[in-house]
Amino acid sequence: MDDADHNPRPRPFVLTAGRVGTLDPDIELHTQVTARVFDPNAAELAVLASEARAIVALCAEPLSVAEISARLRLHLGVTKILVGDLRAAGLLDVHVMDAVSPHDPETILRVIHGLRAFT
Amino acid sequence: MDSARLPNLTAMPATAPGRKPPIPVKIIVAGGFGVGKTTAVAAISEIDPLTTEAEMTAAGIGVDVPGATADKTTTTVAMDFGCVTIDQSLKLYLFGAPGQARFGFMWDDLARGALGALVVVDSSRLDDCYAAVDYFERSDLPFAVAVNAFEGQIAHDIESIRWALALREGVPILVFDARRRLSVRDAMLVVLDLALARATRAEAR
Repeated sequence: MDDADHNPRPRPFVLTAGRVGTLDPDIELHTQVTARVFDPNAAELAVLASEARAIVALCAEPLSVAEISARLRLHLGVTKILVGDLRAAGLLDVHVMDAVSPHDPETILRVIHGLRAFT
Repeated sequence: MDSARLPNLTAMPATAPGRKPPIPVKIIVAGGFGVGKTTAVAAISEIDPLTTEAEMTAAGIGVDVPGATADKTTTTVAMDFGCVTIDQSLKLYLFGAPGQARFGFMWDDLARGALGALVVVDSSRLDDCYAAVDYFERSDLPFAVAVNAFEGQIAHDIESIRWALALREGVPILVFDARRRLSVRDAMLVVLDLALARATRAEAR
């Protein structure tokens, strides 16, 4: 990562093959993403751009789209597109159904209790 | 090589794959530049706030027509965020949203699925938060206004600020210290109480 200053980064649209904007409305800032492939030497990963490989590697632990973007210093829009691609390729799971409804009192109560426990 | 700046894949921990992800919930922390949004996020977050950059279509609120492309420019804005793990299956995300009116599009993105918002206000610069207050007044997202007490002081009393911002009756306004974890926590609890009241009403229907 220290070499960031020495390596000119590809322009974001190069990574996304020119696509802009969000293609998959399921993929939001807080959406959780997990890897399906854990072997860094897996053949499916060898063909990917290094950024895409890095996303799969990071998601060995569940991670939000926003965290992926921040940790890899990728634009949010680029991150969303790459996550969508990797999901389509079967390399990532995007946990859409797990997103909580803001209308679920029980979940909100759990957050309240959790914060009240702060000391 | 290009990959030199990316994490070394072979050095990634061989974690037990398949840990179930937590349910994410989010609260927006909005406000003008330099009012203490990131300070507040940092005070309560369990990680140092992270920054993500997003390309935003910049245009004025009320001027935007979906599909209209005239007079729009794309701007990169930085957004700071942090998180609090409530328990293994529940994680709270706090997103600091830039307050400028022209980032209204971004707020729509942020607001989707959010439990509520905290609008951080500097009492000596009320102008900076009008856009945020106005946005949340018109959205149906629960929100509270938190006046950041710099050096323990606020420039105007709470009722004057409420009047100046033309806050609706039901919008709580409180004084807090963005540097203090428990103070920020208490402000979040005010937002969560509003969210709970709304969720309970919705369920009763």
